[in-house]
Amino acid sequence: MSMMASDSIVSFDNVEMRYGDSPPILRNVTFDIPLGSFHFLTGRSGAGKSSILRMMYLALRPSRGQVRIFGRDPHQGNASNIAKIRRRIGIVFQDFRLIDHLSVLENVALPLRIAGERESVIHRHVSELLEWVGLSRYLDARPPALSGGQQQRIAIARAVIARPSLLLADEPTGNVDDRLADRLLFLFEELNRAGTTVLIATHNENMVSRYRHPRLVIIGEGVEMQYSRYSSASTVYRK
Amino acid sequence: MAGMARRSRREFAVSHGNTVAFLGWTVGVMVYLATLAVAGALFAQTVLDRWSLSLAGVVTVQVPQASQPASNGPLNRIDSVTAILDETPGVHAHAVLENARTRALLEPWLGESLIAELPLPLMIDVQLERGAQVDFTRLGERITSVAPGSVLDDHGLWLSRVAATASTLARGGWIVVLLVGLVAVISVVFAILSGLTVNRDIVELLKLMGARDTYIARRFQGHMVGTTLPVCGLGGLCAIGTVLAVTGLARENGGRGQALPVQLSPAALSLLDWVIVAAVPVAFAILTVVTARLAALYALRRMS
Repeated sequence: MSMMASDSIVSFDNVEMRYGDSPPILRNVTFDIPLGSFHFLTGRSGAGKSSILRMMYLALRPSRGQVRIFGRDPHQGNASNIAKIRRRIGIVFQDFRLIDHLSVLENVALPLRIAGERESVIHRHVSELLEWVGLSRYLDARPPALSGGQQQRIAIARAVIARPSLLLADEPTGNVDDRLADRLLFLFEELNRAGTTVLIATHNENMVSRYRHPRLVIIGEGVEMQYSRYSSASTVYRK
Repeated sequence: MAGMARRSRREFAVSHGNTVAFLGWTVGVMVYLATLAVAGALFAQTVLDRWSLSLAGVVTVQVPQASQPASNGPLNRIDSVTAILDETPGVHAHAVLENARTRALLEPWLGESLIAELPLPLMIDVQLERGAQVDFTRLGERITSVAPGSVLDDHGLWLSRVAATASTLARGGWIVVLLVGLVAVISVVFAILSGLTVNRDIVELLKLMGARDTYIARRFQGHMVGTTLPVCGLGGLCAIGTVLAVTGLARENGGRGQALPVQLSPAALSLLDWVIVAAVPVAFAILTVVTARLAALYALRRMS
């Protein structure tokens, strides 16, 4: 069923995910995400979107099957390899996960610091990006002092600041109005055009319908890829 | 820009404030105690060395007063003893200590009235030639044959007791340093584990962003440097201040018109000793920082 294309950036092959002894929440999940593509991952709440994302950014190991990122099984290597793979992935968490006691600037700068970038470069890049997302006035503010929408923009800025190869976003426009949502989607598309593979998990059908990107849909009995540029759509089952 | 560099170490700074404050005080007190213990150990060793050196090549002959005045009265007994000393190979010089001088030496300890009643022995200070091998048993027998009851004291017994005491003090000091170091290590380990637990969400976030364990451990290490470096310095300074104050006090009280023996003054410690004392806070700072890094790395690997 899986295309397993040689240019896949993410491949799920018969992946099953269960937490502890509970029944599997995902089963026989098989799909590929081609390099440089832009996908939406949709499905009802609780369908397993976040679990799929968490396996992609290596916070979870599949209970069965294989997940390949950048063409290889990340869990075969050591911790250093996992860290290296993670540095190529930008993540927008649904709950933002900002560090409350750090300023906006420091939060956004974290991926660059982890990558060992110079402070002068960090300051310039972070300032530019925060200006782009409309937060240049809040460089020194602490996240708790900002609105949900502003915090979401910080989370997005942090995810894209290091120009990741793969961007995973969990409901990235959940707290912003349509105008800003479009602006953020434009940013994601710009990144995509620059070579970043983008996967956005969302239940916002309105937004998905306005953009002509293929989507992975988790339906009651499985995951289905629609509007695929590829010849065969993937369907995998979650029960 | 420098401000940003400083702030870059703060990912974990705020969340475990109380733990860090407690750790700061703990390490500060540990450094204070360890520095004092090291100074004490070195001081005991130095005092012993100096006393040994000053007593090397010196023996004392005590000639008791005769119970009944006779033709061989005390002065004659002294003459006989000094005659033996004169003809003994290895004796460089000798001098009879005047009775008044002996009384003056003992008076602060025994009191004027008791001194007046006591039949004090006459003392002869004997200087030996450098490296002389004198048969003290034979010499003692010869002296007692002309002056029964005389005692030849080569200070060996007294020195061995002092050496044993000083050695015990020095060993005790080093054991205290080891124990204090151990407690400091344990405190740092618990502080790091507590810090990692409190900051678990941040640690996980950094790992998801691709931070290596060494990056996160370096943050804790940097934080530990900021916390312990000032308290180590402060603890060390307080300890050195205490050593100087105690010796100063001893000089003031023990002196009372008399000069304090060099053995009991701060000058008793050599420059190398002071360097070792000053190195204790530095060693503790290094110990806490290295411990923080190793503990953080160990805990982070277990979290993976």
